[in-house]
Amino acid sequence: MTGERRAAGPELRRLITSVALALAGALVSWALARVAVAGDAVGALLGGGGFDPVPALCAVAALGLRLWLLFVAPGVVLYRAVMLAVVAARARGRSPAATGPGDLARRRS
Amino acid sequence: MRVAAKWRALCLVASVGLAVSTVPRLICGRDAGRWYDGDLATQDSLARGVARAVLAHEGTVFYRTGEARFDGQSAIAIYQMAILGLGQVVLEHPERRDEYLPAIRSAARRLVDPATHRYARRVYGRHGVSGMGRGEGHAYLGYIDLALGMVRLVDPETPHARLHDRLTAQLAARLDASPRGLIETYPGETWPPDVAAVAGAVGLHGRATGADHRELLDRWAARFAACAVDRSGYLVQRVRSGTCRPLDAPRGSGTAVAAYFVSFAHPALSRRLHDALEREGRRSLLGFAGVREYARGHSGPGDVNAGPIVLGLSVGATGFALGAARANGDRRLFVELYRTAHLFGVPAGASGRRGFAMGGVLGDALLLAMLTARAA
Repeated sequence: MTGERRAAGPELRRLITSVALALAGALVSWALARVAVAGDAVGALLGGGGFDPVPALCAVAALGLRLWLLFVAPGVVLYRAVMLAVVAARARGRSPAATGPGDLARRRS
Repeated sequence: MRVAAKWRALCLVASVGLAVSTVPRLICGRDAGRWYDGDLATQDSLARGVARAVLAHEGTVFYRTGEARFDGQSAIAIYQMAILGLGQVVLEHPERRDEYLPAIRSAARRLVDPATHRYARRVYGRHGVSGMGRGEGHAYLGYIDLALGMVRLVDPETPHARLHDRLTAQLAARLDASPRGLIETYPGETWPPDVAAVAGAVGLHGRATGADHRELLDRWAARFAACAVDRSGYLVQRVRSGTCRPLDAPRGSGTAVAAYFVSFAHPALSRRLHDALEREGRRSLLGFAGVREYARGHSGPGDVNAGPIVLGLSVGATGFALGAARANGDRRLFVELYRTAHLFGVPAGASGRRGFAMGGVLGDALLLAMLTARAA
């Protein structure tokens, strides 16, 4: 079991990191979009009583993050999850501690 | 214990491919069906923001770019679309009438104020709301008159009823007198999508008052289509005044907004324009759809009507096509277009108001009207 954990550890850390990045990105994107909606990004850009670039910049940043969150992050998380599963399965196969009932039966026979 | 590099690469490609083909369409389309079906809570989420923005705004115009024409037209568009969107919500859910009527009335009051569109007053010498001289088109009034029709439908006691009757009578007479079914928006400028708004206003006046404009609108639709609808099915954006000679290309933004406007007046013509958008303009990928701005064989830049154009697809054509799709019962196109609007519009809530970060008040009002368009 220890060998298994050691082998899967790096992959697990990568999976946790990619999930954490996606969640953080979602939170930041949501906050940026709120600022843009509250400030009327289009109005700020066109000039509704003085130019204020903040809402417009927030809207563009929120869109960029959103594209990453929807089109990149899920694929990365899925890939990390699959890699973790593959590494864990291989570790189980090579570790004596992880021998399953089928292997015991073969040894007895 | 290391997984071979080629298996890692294969796994990465498969994971990204699977995620890209499922996650974005699921997340961006989760409200699409509710919008199409007219779900009250979904409509309320955007309608409340639009109503609040209209009521909170002081003055008549929203933007001060230094260009009187743009500032006036954008204000007219915000008030008109807010009235149409909120009115459509009320027609679908009459229990919301009391909540949205104050915003509708406020928008109507400023919509008919000549100070809102000073450019029209400057080029004609007087605003069309005050009066129209012989031979003057004033087709920009189509936007105002169409909104007044919606006001009258949801608020029959409106103080603007007489103005609504007068504007409709004058605009209808101009449409009927035109051998091409076209009238000028401003001196020397004829824009068929604006004329579609005029026709929509005449049609909605009939629905609101019971007046029968059907024969007039049938005559108009035949002449208008013969002159301004291109072989592609797209509507020509601009023609030389007094002729059918195109001064601009057949454009998706004009076709889509015309299909929505005409849905109030002539369902068959609205269907014809919508079918052209579906057949010639629609481009779909991974469950997202956009609409080409320029018909095949034409090209050009984005402008105030089209907005930004990316890969030939425009924000304007795609957004307005939502209204055309719902008005013409095209659920599949509506859902795909909605996903795109959701993806690039970046919806969010703030201070009790929900809106689209990339759209501002103008975008929110336009989208509310399109997302709640009623059957032609």
